[in-house]
Amino acid sequence: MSRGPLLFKDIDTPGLAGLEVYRGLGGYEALAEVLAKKSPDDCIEVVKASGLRGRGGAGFPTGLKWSFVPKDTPKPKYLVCNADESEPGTFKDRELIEKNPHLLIEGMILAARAIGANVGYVYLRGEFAWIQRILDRAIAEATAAGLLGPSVAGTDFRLDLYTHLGAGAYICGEETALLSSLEGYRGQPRLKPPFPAVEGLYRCPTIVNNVETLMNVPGILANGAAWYRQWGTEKSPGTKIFSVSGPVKRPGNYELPLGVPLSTLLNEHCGGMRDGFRVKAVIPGGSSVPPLPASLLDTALDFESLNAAGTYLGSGGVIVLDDRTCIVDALWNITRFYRHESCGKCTPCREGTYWMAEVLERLERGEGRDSDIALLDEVADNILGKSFCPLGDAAAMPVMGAIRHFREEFEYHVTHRRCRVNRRREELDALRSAPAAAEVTA
Amino acid sequence: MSAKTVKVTINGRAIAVPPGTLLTDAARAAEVHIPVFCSHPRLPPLGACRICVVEVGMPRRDRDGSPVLGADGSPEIAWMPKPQTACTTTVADGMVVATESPGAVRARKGVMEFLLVNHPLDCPVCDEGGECQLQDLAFAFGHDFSRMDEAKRTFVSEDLGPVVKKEANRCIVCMRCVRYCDEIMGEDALTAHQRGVRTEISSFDRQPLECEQCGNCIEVCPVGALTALPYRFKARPWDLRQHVTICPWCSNGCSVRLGVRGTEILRARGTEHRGVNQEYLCARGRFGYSFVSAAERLTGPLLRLGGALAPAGFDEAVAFTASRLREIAARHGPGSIAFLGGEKLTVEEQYLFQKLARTLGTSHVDARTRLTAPLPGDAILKATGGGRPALSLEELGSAGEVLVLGDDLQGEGPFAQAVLIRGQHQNGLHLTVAHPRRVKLARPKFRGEWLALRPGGEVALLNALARAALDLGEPQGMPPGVAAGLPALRQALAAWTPEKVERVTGIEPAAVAAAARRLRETPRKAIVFGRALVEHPQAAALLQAVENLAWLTGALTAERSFVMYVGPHSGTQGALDMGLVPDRLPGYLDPADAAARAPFEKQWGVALPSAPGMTAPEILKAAAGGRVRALWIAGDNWLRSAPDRALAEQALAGAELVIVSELFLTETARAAHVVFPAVSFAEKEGVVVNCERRLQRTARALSPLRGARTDRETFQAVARALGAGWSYRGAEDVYREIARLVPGYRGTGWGTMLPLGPRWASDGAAAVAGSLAPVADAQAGPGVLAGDGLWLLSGGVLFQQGSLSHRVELLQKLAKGARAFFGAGELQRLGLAEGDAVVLEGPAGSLTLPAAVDDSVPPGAVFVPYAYPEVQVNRLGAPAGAGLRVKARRAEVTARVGA
Amino acid sequence: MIKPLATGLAVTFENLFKKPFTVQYPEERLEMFPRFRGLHILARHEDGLERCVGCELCAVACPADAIFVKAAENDADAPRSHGERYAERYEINMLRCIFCGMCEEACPEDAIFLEKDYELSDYRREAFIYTKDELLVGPEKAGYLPQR
Repeated sequence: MSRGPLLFKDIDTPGLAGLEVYRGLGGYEALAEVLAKKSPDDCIEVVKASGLRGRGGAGFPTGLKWSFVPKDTPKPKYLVCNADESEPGTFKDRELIEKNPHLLIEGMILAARAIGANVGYVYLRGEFAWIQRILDRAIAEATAAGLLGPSVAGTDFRLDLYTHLGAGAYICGEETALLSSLEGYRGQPRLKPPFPAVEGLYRCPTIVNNVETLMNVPGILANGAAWYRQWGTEKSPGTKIFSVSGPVKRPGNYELPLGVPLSTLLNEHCGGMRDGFRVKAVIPGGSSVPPLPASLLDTALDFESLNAAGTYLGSGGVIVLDDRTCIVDALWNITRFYRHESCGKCTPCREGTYWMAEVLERLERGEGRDSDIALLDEVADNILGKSFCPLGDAAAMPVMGAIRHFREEFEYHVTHRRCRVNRRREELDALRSAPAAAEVTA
Repeated sequence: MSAKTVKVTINGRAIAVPPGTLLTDAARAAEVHIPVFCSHPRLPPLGACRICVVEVGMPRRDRDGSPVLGADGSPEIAWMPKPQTACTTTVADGMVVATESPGAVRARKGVMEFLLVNHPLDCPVCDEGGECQLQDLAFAFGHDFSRMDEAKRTFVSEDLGPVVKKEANRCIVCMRCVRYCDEIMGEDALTAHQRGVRTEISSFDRQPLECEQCGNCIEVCPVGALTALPYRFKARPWDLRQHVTICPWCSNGCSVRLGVRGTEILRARGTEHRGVNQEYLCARGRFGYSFVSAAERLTGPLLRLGGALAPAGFDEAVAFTASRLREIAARHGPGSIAFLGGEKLTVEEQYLFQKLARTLGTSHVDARTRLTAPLPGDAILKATGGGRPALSLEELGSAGEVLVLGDDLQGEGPFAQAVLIRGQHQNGLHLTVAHPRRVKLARPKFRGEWLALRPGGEVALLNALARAALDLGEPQGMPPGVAAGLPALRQALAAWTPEKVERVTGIEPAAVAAAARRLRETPRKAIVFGRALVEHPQAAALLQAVENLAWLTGALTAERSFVMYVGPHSGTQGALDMGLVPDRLPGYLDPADAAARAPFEKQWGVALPSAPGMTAPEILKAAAGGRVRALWIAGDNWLRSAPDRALAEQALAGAELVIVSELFLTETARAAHVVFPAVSFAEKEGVVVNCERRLQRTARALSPLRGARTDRETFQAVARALGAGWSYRGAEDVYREIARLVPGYRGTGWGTMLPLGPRWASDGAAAVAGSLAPVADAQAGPGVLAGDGLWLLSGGVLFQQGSLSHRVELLQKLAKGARAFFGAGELQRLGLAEGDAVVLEGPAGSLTLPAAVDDSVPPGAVFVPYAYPEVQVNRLGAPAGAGLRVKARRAEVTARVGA
Repeated sequence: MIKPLATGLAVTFENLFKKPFTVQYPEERLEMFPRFRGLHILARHEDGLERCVGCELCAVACPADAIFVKAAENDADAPRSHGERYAERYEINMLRCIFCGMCEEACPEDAIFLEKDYELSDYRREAFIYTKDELLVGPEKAGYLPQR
């Protein structure tokens, strides 16, 4: 049974991770032809025409990004695959590489050829050790089969692929931090401009693409832009994999054409909510984006429609919050994540996430004050747009979105000194003998 | 150079600045204050602290490119949706910037509030209080109350070694310290641990810092996270009188800001926007001031009338000195009197010192007491371009290729080293270091080329480089007089075949050729050398070889010089300029030339000797042999600086009159008949000339110690007692005379010389004609190479510079006691372990020191830093430091000595 | 003529029965107003440690330049004050002091107060330089803060 039209078409075929099975399903078939017939510039043009947009979260047009790589530079160029999938609620790249590593390799070969890179790196998040083994095995297979190495598929194009395991920092999903980490430095974002396409890894032109983005490339180059545009909308063509979590009947990864309404995803594909649960809010694009209240469930899942609804498509990590979930509690959880993962480079993110987590903890403990909601909103607003990289925005937007849509829950916390919907926290607290030791400076 | 500028409007004020200017700098030009923390003029933009957020916009344009006008006729501005950091944004033509718009103010206040979220606000106990940028900016831009009343995150404070105190709670993670340490000091001693709100600056292993201890991390810290332990809780900034003067510790001539409370110097800091060094100071400059207030300072003249030195009145000492000098001159002739030292004095004092000598009728005057062989007084000037406009430290940092010859700049010119490291890190400067040891600049971190020169191979290497440069084609840009020497040189260089050079120097021919090619083909280049060449037994040949190489590679041209001499002392260049050499009058004038002598004779009212006198090594021999009967040694511990201690001891014991002007009762002063108490750099005014030949005036930060006199007063008093009609009322009077008489100094005045004074250069033609001349190697040959024993490598180290550093407790502590350093393999071969006492035996004597491992020392050599109080390297025999072989063996007594 | 005389005597007579205004100093002493500013004290915390941390803000606030402070680092095992810093020397020159109270205003630690003591006289000028020993309250007054 096919789970999706493109990347998920054959995803559940047993043994797909092996070269044999992958080839049996048509893998690497078009590779030699594309390499022979299409010049790198042609490839970039086709990808541009396909309207493929980055699947990592920001949605930047992939072809356009590739075209930024300077043509006449003596420096080597690099292709880096961003497989540091750390966005809470997102688990698509993991399944994609685990089950179909050769599609990624094929995509990287084509992308590297298009930008003129002879070395490619796959930066995997630190927890993906077993995926690294799968991918390494696939790379070895492909190299043995002459698909990688000094002569890719019999052409004079050389490509060597390497995998690199991160050390477990969310920030390394940000492309410049990823590059710093890959170079062996502290994983912190760098100043842009210069953008990586001009000055990236080891100060050489570098393209950083998400796993899903790269996996879309072979199909587009084999079948053309028009073929790809049969899915999705005018401005958001193609399909997207949504990672659905929360109390739905069938959580998991779903590949759907862009533009499908959120309700369709939840009700038809995920089988609706589990019995006894009702949707309260949905975070459509990983924990970094503002939540959508239940009233906006009909919003189409594409870049433009979600922007219009005040949120983002992001990485496609759809987190469903049910009516028993306390928004303040959920938000505290998310904010603690950002406090932990802030790299500490810039002030607003480093200090702001700490402060927000402290205020949310106070609200959650039932010690909130009247001024706290405004304070929280203002602190988030002071982070938004002032931080060095989007991590600060990612921490601020859920807070501001939650306050906008669910202000009465925050107010309930302040006035009743407890949560309206969820007693779990109180029960846990009661179990704990003493409150967390407060550290006070001299 | 293009004069293109772009127009920017900041807060309604239009200014034109060069393209590529950062908004923070443009704002400074527009007199608009944009606060910064992480941004630093010497570091690339980081954009981390976000305090500099401003609103930026560009005029909105039509499709045809014309600006859209608003309702009131003024151009409409398309503001960027987010505030931008001014420290990372470069200007664009027509850009409009607002720092006081509601959006910008709100963003800045927000950041300010964030900065204080985890800041402990413990200003009353913080040493930075009163000069803290966070305090100032919180006052200027912040709220007057805190909305943050949660628990703050806390760290434990740490002492990072003897100079840095870390209080991480106060840290705002601007990373200035980490970046400065890496990019400018090249030390990489600091790092950030953890991440996010738990980010903490510390050493990598959280152990005390093992670095240059420069304290620049403290200087660049905008808050009180890093403070200086020596200054801990000593005073508040408003207690201190601040005096900007020139650091006395080396020839770089850094500006230093002394903080004085009462009669004590409490700290020294860089000067930020003044001086060659800006904020930079090395460990000596920053923490070495305490000798000024040492209890052992001399507070009155001492006279040896009977057997022992006894306190005497100043007038009594002056009268005694004058009468003895007159007596000796009458009995043995003025040629029996010699004047030594003076490299640590100001230009005025140096001028008077040689004037006194020459007025007395002797030309035996030499400041270069460490010379091991006679060297013409203009040799260094000639090697550095003969007075052509010299290389500045700033140009040095922006050069493309720099050859450092034989000097460990870490000890000899720490700021020059920092300039090179910064150039390497930020401007792509490439370093070639020729040194027997793998000194700091030769470390792999700086990606340069280390020419691991075998001691004794200096001439060979320079000749080989010259030959390789000549092989690349005809040299360009030489004046005809110089070019005339080319055929003879070409012929002589032919003998230096790559095989021969490799045998002598131990350096691969390919590396030599590559170094010569880089030096010749890089457009901006520089050659830096120091005392290692000057104090070499073949100094004269080596300096000629440097000059040859410079002409052949284009480091010297008819118009410019890109060769720098980094001398050992603050007054090294001044001493040469002021004629503290036996064969040159002030301004390198030849005393044999009657026309050159005339102005001096007229001004001084005496007839000057036309014959050159003896150089320092000659004086040493003559005094030991009884031909020189009176010695005046100014600011020089001769027993330690003379190349052969046994000879110096003999000379002092045999002399009829030894006069020493000193701060302390040094070994040399103990052997004197008259000791005049001098004053330190902080207690006198004057001019010093640094290695860029920049004239800089020192300021008086303290009143002279009661009883001590400036050398100027002492020299004048003695001269008057001898009948000379000197009547200088102050150092400025002396300087006026210098500015009148000395070429190169003409037309300069004190008024222009506070930090960053003019750099002197001979006008028009070079003061000394350059030349190309073959250089023979008197030393290299199978005999020298096959000698047994270990090469003795000596040299300066950072924490021990000379006898003054012996009086600075902190530097003594940092220097960790004298040791003899061997490579690990060598130590093993000798059957020694680290810490074992080792005896070094030279031709004239021996030394016993603890052995230590230092992997920068090559096999077959031992490195003994010369300036430790307990090490008298010159006991081993002449010549010390360059080309001496010693034998090493385990000490008889197995007890550990020293540290 | 008699009328003015009577008026004058009436005043005299009236005052004859009033409580006298004069105070028989030094036998009698006036009670000072709560905000009277006399000789300074340096207060102590409840635990007996000195409140003063030697920050010198009083010295810089002093318009008469009467205060000299020299700070030092606390011995961690036997601290004199809270925190790392304490005043090793604390001196006020009472001949210069103008009793304006700015030091009290400036103090971030509530350590210095101008108290009620106004008997400041001596035969020697040196005696007017009040040292820390004279200014610091005794341990028995630990925790004492004047009412304002």
